[in-house]
Amino acid sequence: MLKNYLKVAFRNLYNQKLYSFITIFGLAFGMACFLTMFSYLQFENSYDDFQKNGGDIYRVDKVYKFNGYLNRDSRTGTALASLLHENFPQVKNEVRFANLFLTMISSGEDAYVEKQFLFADSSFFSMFSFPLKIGNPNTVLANPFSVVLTPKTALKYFGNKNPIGQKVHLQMRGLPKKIGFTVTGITNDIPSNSTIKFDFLASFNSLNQILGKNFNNTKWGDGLFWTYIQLQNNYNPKSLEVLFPSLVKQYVPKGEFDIQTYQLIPLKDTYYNKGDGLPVGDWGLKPFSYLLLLMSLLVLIIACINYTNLLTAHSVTRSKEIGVRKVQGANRFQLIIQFVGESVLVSLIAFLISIVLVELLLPFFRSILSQAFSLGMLASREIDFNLTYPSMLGYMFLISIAVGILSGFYPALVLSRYNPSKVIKGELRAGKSSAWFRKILVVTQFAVSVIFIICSLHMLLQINYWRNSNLGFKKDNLICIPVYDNSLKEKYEIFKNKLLQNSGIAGVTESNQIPAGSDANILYIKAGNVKDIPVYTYYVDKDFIKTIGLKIVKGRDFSDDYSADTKSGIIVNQGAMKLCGFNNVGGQEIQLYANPNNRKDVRYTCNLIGEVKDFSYRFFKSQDDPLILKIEPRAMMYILIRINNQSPTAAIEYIRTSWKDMQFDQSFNYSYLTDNLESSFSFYDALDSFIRFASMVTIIIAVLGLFALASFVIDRKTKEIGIRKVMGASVKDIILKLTLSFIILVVIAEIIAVPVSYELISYILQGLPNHITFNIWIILSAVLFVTALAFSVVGLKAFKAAAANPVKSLRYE
Amino acid sequence: MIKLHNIEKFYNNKVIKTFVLRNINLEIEEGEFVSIMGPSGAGKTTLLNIIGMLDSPSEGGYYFLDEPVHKMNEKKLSELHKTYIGFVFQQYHLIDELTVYENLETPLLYQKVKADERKGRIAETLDKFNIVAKKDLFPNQLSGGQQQLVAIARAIITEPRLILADEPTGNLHSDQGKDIMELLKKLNKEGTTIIQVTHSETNAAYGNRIIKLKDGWIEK
Repeated sequence: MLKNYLKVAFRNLYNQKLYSFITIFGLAFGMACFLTMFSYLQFENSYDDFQKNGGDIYRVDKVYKFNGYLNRDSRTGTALASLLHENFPQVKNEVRFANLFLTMISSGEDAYVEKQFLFADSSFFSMFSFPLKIGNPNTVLANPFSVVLTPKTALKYFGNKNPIGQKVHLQMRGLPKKIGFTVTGITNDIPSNSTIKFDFLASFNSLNQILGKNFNNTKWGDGLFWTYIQLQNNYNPKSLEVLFPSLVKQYVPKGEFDIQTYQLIPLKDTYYNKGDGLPVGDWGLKPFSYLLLLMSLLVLIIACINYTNLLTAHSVTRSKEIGVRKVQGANRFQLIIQFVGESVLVSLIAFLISIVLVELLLPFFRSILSQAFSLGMLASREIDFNLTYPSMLGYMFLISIAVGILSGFYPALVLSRYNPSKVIKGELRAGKSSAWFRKILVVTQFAVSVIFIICSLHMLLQINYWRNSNLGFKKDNLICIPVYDNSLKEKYEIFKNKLLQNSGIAGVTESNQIPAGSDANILYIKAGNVKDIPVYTYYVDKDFIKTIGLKIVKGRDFSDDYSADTKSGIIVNQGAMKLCGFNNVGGQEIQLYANPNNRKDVRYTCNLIGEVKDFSYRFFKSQDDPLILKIEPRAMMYILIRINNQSPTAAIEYIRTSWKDMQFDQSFNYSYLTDNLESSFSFYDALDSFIRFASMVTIIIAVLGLFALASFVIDRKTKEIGIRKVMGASVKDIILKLTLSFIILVVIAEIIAVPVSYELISYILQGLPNHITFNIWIILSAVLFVTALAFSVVGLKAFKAAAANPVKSLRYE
Repeated sequence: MIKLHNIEKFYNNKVIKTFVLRNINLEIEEGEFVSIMGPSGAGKTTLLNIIGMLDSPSEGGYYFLDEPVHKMNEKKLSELHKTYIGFVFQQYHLIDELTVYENLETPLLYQKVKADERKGRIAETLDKFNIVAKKDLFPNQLSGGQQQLVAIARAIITEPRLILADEPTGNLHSDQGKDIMELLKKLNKEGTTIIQVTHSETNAAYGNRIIKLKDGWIEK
């Protein structure tokens, strides 16, 4: 019996190639989308699962008051670990991390910019499950200036040589000279689903010697230091957390942060729970991941709807077979089994194809996902998920069976209800109820597609808006070179003069921040009638304003003519002028200090010499937040070079050779400022890529489905068309008559989709910084596009039918 | 074998009741070859469908082998008709996606006949109808007469005691029609009861009894 069913099923699929292609590929695409996102979610949820002590490991976050609000930040300084160790026997083990994010590492001639140079206490390998390939886990990080490498890093720096005992040299901003680290161990490859990631893992006690003896017990939250602890087996973290407020009162000094208490975040939760600051390693956004899953689920549902729809329409062609089978003794149950079974069969074929599709789509999805989390200073993420989870394929297998049953059940029910005596007499036409059902499904399909398209276009517009937004300075043709080598600071002026000799270079300056970057330095200000107010500070050289193209509103730019400028000259933005209550520029005294609780520790006492127009010194943040520009060559972190438009490659080549001539202890490495800007919204760009992909898939499925449906309906109307033509209807009349009933469905879908997407888009846009508003032209163009697409697809089929010779069609019936 | 008692068939079309069969009383014995004749719309096919249990009467009693068909549920009905009755249609009604062999196999599958026996019976039937060479062809690769031959083969493969044929030669050339009628005659001789609907006096003559219908009534 099964064989009989299978034969009929396969021969039907084979005979109706277009129909089969549309249904199977529609389903396969839907499944592939869902499968991909499902595996991605599985990957994200598997973060840190491999840690054997994971259940007892916690990240300690500081909870502090800022501007009256409580913030939680995972950066806890260096002193906390020993405090916890001494006060709580429940704490079995603790590891501090320091992450430098951007460093320059060299070994011999080779020098690379590295983003994953991590420091950790020597207890690291007993607490975390990172097996060592070479080295003793208890001792590899015991001595200062030891470093453990991953196999990849070892290969990169030492090739096939034995790396143990070799040295790598670290160049770090603010360090006078290179520091050598001796390789003491090699780990296994770091699992890609580890929140803690490193290429280099150096001993934490090296920092004692690098940063000075006192740093070990003085840092309470500033700087890039994190604390992880391991509690005694199954100890309840809540009973420890309640003790923290009093601990803070007793031991933690009132410093830069007004720390209230500490919170323990289970290791397993750290991935989705990064807190307000930067985490030590990988992090994710739960809503983002689930949004992607939801979108892919929608695509799958659309594909299922499409399938049900075509199956229902198509089932009428099978009515004769049903009748014959009934006459030969098939009961209703057997027929339902047969047709649901066929649907499951198609679904399983689609499932097999979807696995192939996933393999094809994965590189695309992976690259978008890694792009989503690539912030300028962080290492690019390897989103290394794939379909190797056997359990997931099992789930998906079950899901595709479910898809088959769900999609096939309604048509099977309708089919099996046919009365054989009527079917055999040929009295049967598609029932009215199933026509309604089909219409609702078509409307749903198109509504979802239109919503996707409108959302995607708004995202695109928003990103373009950001891309082209007026930052208040000239962002094009500006090249950034990060500074690692300290000799660069000494030779900067020589280098600068050399560059300026070339006509292709319009200006050179330096700064401690990239303009329109993600953040800026904070100092506290006392000026005019304000004190203890945090202001953002840019350390620059005298050509900064000229070079990046800021506008002086009052006073003057830094100048060589005033020797005092270097020491005490200060230029502020309009926001800072307003804050201090200054109306004009006239040498007002401004004091800057790092700690609001210690006003006496003044960093700079300056005189106001100028006011610049507000500009976006931090991307996404408002331009009129107070900003101070101060000359400070020691703080140099980036060299900014403006090149002329005419021959950028020649200019960059000139910079490269000049760089070589200077013999800096750092390899040449540059980026365009505009590329840095891109990374500010790369997350949204990635999100848009997904929405665009989803909208493309859904609209293709919807349109193909509409085409198949229209073909089916029109094919059954050949006789009617023939009669109408004989009666004198023109081709145009017939096309209109045939297409209109489908176009109406599309229009209804659009009428539903527009208000829904209005609500959705308004909600999304409101959550974005610097956002656009709902755009009526996008709606109109999306609606027009979809209508036109539907019209042309149905119209094509209608034209073919209408243009046919009526004599033929009438004879055939 | 078949007893129809005061059978009525009508359709309620809003207010008007349209009668198709009126007060049909009929008895058919096992081994008969009955021809139902009459003009278009007389209710011939409806009567045949009721006898074949594809349709149910609006009123009246139907006894098949002395069992009350009008009181049976669908399961019992389907059981009864698949064991005892074979159908032959004017339009042949073979399943287009199945080969001759597979078309013959289908009713056996629904009767849950075992694989070995299935093979044997199909081979035997193919042989008997002289269509062994055509067993792997699809219906649309056969002529009308050949298709009807297969349809009859399919109807008798389950060895039914009753064959219902609705204008079996209606779509065929007269030569082909003659062959089909000879075949039915032969089956009847072998013991199968046959009821056919036909327009043709010649075909009706193959049977041993003629029932004439007009406007739903049996003409006496």
